[in-house]
Amino acid sequence: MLDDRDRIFTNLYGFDDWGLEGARRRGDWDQTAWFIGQGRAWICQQIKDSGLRGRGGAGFPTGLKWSFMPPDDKRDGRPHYLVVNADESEPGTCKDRDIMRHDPHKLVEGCLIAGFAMGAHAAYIYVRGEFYREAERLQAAVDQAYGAGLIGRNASGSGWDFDIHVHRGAGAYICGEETALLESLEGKKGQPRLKPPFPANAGLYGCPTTVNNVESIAVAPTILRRGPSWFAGIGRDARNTGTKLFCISGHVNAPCNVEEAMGIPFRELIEKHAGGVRGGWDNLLAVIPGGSSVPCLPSDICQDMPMDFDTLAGLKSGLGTAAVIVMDKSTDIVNAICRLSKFYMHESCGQCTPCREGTGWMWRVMTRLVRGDADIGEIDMLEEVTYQVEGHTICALGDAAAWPIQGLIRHFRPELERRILERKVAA
Amino acid sequence: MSGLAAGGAVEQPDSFAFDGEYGRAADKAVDRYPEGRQASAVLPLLDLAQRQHGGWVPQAAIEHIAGRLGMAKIRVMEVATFYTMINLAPVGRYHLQVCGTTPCMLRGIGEVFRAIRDETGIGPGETSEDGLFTCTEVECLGACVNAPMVQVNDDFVEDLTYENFSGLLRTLKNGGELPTGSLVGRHSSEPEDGARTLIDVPAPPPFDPAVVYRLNGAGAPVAAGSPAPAENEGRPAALDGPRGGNADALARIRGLGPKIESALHGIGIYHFDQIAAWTPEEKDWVNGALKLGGRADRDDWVAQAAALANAEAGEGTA
Repeated sequence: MLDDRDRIFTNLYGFDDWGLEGARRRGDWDQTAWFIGQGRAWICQQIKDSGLRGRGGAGFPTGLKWSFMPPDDKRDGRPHYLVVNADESEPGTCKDRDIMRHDPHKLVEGCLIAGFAMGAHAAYIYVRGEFYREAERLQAAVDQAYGAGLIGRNASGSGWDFDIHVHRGAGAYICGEETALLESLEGKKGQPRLKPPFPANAGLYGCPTTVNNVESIAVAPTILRRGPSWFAGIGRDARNTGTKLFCISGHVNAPCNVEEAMGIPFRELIEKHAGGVRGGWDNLLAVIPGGSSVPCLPSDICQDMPMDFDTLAGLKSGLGTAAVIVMDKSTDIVNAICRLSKFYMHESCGQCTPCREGTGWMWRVMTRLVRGDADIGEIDMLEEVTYQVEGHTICALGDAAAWPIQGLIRHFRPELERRILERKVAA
Repeated sequence: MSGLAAGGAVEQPDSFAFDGEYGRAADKAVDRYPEGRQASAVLPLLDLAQRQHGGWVPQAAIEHIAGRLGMAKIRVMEVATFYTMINLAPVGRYHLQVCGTTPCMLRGIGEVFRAIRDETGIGPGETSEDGLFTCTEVECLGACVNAPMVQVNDDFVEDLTYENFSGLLRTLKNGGELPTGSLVGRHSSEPEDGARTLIDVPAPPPFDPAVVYRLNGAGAPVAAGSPAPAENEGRPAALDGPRGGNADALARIRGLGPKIESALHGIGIYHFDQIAAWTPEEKDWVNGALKLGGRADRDDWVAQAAALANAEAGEGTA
């Protein structure tokens, strides 16, 4: 188990003061100006060396992403922006919420450091609208930081001017997609943009922009303070480093959020932190290891698997947001996945036909499969349709709608067939 | 995707304008965005209009916001109908936004719907006759480790059961105050039977660049996984630089990546034969100094390095 001293979010549960005084006690805002003094390239290199990969789901190397922003000698007069994606909506995921309400200064300080590293003087933090109290808390932390001179003009005495604005959304999963988020922030419907151009060239208001997840930004100051080799030394290998917030929900005895080492074995994560599977370990049916968008894995595959990006991708699933949804043997697995299909149907923005039409079609077939009201051949047809949706849309929502169904068919086809045959016999 | 839509006979006010605290908040919201980008304030203004108008946005407010932000009315309408939190028809005093997505479903959100039906007589999409409650099934609200949960107006109530949510509804019916957060006594997202981590977290020492970062010859700071001089017992012999200027590709060793490779360079280890010659004490020292977490043992770097050193030697003489 990860030592408490190696945890970054030491106020994850909010037992300590969330405010500036508590944050300083926990090591935040300690010589922030020194890091800024080392320069943009140095900060990007430190983050690259730490091996940090984006914590929002895709796992793209964070330092590399920052370095895509135009360097100082290639600036063309347009402002640069940092946009923080706090539109936490992936079913199963509730980690950024804890950062915002219990350790908001880690995010605020991270914005300054990351913003400077990409040459930005302003950051917008896009918080999902439902997180009203969390946005209030975050705004209070931002106000504290302004009051103490940590951000604003000559932020933290660094010579760099930096503003942070908190912007609330209004209920739309799709706005967690980075270009949809930018559209929404510009006052439009949250419909994803075609790429290229990528946000680093033309993002918010047509200006160079980098969109990062809350957790990716909030860990940056601690990585710099403790050195990249500390962060890189935690984890299973050089491509899967550091600590990670896991959200353990579903059929466990004690659902919780916890910060653990990347690559912690699945069973250890569940038994040490979440009190084990309801009804005992052998009562495990399946797990969705990384938020609703990744395919589920049956119990025989997931036993001791290391919870990291590359292992889970190798198992045809994904670490995603590290939202671990556990299902015991009482679960109607077809219905559980069917409810996700309804989610994606509801959240499709309607821009691309495969997704707009496909998500509804897939949900309707899934509702029949729950009852067994289908022909065996329709299982293959459904799978075929998921591959028609996957990869044929502007953003990854189409893929995210397809993958849970593919996982279900891959691992639970006998269950689907059983329902169909039993219904036919009964008829 | 919109929230409650105007379904025909909604009585609309003739006009709308922000006033009082809402007016000040609206001014502040518009100021957050660069000159010429005021349309960015459309969601904040719709939200403020909804709050001022008792939970829903009338057509007059859409027109007012369009005028204020220099947007076509239809553009504001387009936004208002896209986002689920904007209501275009009146809602009850308590808007019960019930999370129906899989994590809440697995933990028994059906019991919560049953409690709502039993206590208020309404189901999803309905408003109680006394105007006190509106029930809406919403998608994942992001509090999954406290499932099942419901958002009531601005607040989350979590860890629900049939009994505790029935009690909450009765409290509200009797004019009581809304309890918020976990209804089973959890502080937040820690396990219900108490936190297993973050029990005893020492305050970190003040940051000192000289300790964490030291300058190497090239002037580039490197992270000090490297040892303090006083702790050199067991340290393997270091080279000042790679022999002949060419280091071996240490990352060829399984379990040893580029990060550790550069850390090894930092303590003067450049060649397979150096690693192959580590004594158990030296291996432990490196494990501790570079925080390898037992990796060198697990993947038996010494044996791997010996094999690679032999192979290199073989290539060299062939």
